[in-house]
Amino acid sequence: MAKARKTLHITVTAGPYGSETPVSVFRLVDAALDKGYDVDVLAYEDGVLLTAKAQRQHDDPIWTDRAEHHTDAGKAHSTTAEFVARLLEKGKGVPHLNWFV
Amino acid sequence: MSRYLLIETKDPLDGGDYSFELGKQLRKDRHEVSLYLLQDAVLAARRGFRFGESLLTEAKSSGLTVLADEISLRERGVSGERLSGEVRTAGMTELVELLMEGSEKAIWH
Repeated sequence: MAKARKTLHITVTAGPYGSETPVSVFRLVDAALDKGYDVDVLAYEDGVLLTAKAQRQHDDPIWTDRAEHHTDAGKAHSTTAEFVARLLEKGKGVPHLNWFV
Repeated sequence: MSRYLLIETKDPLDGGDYSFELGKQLRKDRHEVSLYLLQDAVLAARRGFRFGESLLTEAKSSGLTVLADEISLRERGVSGERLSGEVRTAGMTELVELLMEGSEKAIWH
């Protein structure tokens, strides 16, 4: 009989840009998928904003006069929604990622 | 006896000593304890930081396994000679293994 795949359950309340916690959660989810575990994330309180699509990338605020630091050059910071989208793409099959809000 | 995984994220001067204290108490009750330092908690691993060194020395004498997240260390410039010899660096892969296979109870602080 095949061994059941384990699932890592994570609850996250931290919203975007207020602390380092969302990035740590993204890293943890990424590593768990790499190791072959299914992952369920429940985002609540400010955590529901991690997937808000209204977020927009912005240019480097210091070197606005340097083209290589402009959003179009791919040097802007990814939004948390984009990070989650990449993780969902990675976890759309097996192992699988569910992201609940 | 249970296997505990304590994930500490706070600066030791801002409440991050909590997991060290909890870990020591759990060790007294004969539980296995791994302590993973993440985010600002890795500041405890700075060589020459007296409070951090005392936490690590006590953790070692209590039998805690202390790991420090390599990316959190790198982000804060804690590497090479600046890193205490009392911790072992680790990555998210090892944290996942501890969460999924190496512990029954995990606490994130």
